[in-house]
Amino acid sequence: MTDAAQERSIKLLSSDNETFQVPRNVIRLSNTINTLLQDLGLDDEEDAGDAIPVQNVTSTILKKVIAWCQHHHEDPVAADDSDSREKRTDDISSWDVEFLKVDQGTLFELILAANYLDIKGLLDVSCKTVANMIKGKSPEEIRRTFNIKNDFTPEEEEQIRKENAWCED
Amino acid sequence: MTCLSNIPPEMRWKIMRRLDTKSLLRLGATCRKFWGESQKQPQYYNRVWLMERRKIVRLILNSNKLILEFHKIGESKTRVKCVNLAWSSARQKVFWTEIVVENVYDCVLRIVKEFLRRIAGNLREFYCFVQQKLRSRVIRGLQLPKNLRNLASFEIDGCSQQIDMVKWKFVDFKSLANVRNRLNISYTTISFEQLLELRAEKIEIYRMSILTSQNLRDYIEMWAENRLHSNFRELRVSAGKSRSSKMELVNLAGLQIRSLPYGTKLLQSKVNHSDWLSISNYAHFFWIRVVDENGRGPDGY
Repeated sequence: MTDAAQERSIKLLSSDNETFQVPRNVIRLSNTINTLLQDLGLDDEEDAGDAIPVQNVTSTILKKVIAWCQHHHEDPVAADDSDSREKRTDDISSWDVEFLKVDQGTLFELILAANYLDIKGLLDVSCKTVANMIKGKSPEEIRRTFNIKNDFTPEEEEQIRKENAWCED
Repeated sequence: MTCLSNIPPEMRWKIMRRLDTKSLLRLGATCRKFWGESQKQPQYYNRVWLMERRKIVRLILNSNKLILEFHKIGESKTRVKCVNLAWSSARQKVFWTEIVVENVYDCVLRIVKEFLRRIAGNLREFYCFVQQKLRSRVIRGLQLPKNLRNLASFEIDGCSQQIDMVKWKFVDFKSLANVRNRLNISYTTISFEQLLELRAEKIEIYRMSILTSQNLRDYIEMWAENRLHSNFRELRVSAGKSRSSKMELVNLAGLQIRSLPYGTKLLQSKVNHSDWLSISNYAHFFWIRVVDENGRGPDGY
């Protein structure tokens, strides 16, 4: 990417038809947008041109995503997390903690948007936040927190309770 | 509203990946969907705490070794040791370990499954011993003959109070051939994990202390009467090199086969030195090994 390309802006169009102008070096955190621009040869064009439709993301969420990218656009590239090692969840920056103090619907929409736009850092931190909401809770508390319907039969529930007994003392 | 239940499974997978085992199990205990998904997570197997009375045993899996941590309540120190671990890299054949606990939970088997999954590429034979003092000769309501006092059972779906010993052996990949065929997957891609999934509901492995015709007959009859499902189809018999012992097994098995439904097939393994009975139906595989009074088979193990 040339310096000129870095400095210019990209237009993004949310699913509810709101347009956002985003600096190129901010939206670089989205691999999806990067690939799109490169594949279409739009990276070197001076004119921002038509807005890129981001069909799966509403304006509310896109605004949040852009805000996150704005704050993190100078961060080093996140390491690949494809290995199967257990992940830490206690290393969320205070800015991100505040940023993700949103209702659950927004949080999961952010996860979906981060996944769609392939923004590894945002996906990572939002998944960690959900994981932290699960940790330390009993199954019943988790159900209440996430509004999960218990569809086990009493027998199945008893069976699971037995199977999990070893870790519940 | 978008929530944990209706996001795509791959997104939940990313969340579950960040959970410790305990949290993962608790999430899995909330509903069926999460229960199934939680069991596909690596940490479901990786770090397991066995808690029994005053003893806590933590089993940590590495690529080719098993570390057990013992911690007694009331003691500040946790003792860590590798227990009876052996890996013959030269033969790339035998891995075995011995786990001694006062009670056995199904997580032991999950650990073993994960072990198998990880080292299936090299593994040819596998032994796992779970020893427990035999408290009763009565196993699940079945009064055993005196000479079968070392009979051992292991249930994947719960802990048995009467476990004496569990012993597995996968003779080699040839004996998995019909599993492979049934699954219609290639020889090289079958994993022990897949094999074990086939019989994931229950595994019962019996060890006999004395090899006699009468014991075998008793055993097979007990097996047939109490253990087999109605769709039992196949009995694989192999009894080592000795023609007489082989014929004895075949004859004994043949007696039982006649009383079994659905035209059960009798197959003889071509594997030399094999002394395993392998009984299968559509859903389960069982290996039964006949050993001498010292618990050793003809191969010396």
